[in-house]
Amino acid sequence: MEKPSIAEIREEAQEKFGLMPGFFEETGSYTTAPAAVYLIADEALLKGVLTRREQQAVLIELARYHNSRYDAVVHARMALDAGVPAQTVGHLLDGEAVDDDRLQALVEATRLSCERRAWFSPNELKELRQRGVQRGDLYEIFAFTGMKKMTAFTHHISDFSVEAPLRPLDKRMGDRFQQPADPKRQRLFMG
Amino acid sequence: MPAPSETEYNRSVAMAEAYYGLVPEIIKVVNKENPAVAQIYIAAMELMEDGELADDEREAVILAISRYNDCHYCARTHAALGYAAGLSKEDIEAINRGHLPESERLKAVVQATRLILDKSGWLDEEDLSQLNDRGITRMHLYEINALISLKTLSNYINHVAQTKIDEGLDQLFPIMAEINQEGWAEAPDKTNV
Repeated sequence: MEKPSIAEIREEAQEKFGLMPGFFEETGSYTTAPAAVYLIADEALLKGVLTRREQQAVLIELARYHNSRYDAVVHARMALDAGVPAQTVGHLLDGEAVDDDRLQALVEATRLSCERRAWFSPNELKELRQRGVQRGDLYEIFAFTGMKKMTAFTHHISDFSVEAPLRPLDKRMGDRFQQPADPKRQRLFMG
Repeated sequence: MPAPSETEYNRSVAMAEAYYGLVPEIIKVVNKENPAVAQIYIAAMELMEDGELADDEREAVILAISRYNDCHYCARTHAALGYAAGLSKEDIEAINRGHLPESERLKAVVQATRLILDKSGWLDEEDLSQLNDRGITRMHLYEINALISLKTLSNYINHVAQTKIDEGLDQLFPIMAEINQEGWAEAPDKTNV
């Protein structure tokens, strides 16, 4: 599969999202591979096992976990558009429990996946299964986790802007998801 | 939950056979449950081969991420693929033990990968400047992030699925018999979780 040109990325993004996302614009100046990977994943997951609402709840949790304001704004908007109630979106952004049991189970599975790098114990897997979170759900959560690490880490490095149509929602976010004053390394290797 | 459609399942199998020449165990375990995810992995990994990173740099990054996540399966499959892409046996052994490869270029790529992972992408101006002095540009950083995306997916799947190593890997890649795998990530049943 050949890597697309920036013009092809722009055309596909415009068709799909109605605009060129800041993530694509920033990375596309250097390499089109990240945008192309994102577009492949986004398209494939239209045929995933999670519903649109469930996907957006997972994505908000991932934005929150990775402290990515850009992703939080984008997925708050998409969650609202997918029919997630505004109050639920607010709870998700703040890491608070939500009333919908299915969404809550998926959010907890997402958080645990990130915290443990998916090293679940057999009991944790059993408990998730009992709450309706199956392997197919977990694998989709992992796909989203990868995608959001890519966008969040890129945003942390380059601090690209939220797209103009999303700026009113960005303002309503208040002071959520700011850069930590002194980000520490979490895990050191000999290298 | 409805079973994955046969059409999508078969599509993933065809994609895997076209790209790898076989259906790797990781694709088998994912495809049973969620063909969309299997298709992302195959298509996106193929696309990354056409990225700006040199082949050996890309494989060094993949090994560094897989070591970070302690993935037994990716450590071994990408040891084989890394050797085919130009990494030395010694470099593969070193990265899979959390150490560094020999050359300055690969050392810088591996250290950049670990830094991004350790700091969740919060690289400051000093980090960026030091990396840039060593030849690590935004292009490298953004492709490393894309590889982190794909390896997070595969590493996490392998933890949950306890994916078995593909039969015949040693025959396909004879170098595997010569590589010392001591100190590499082990399958979940041998690890304290």
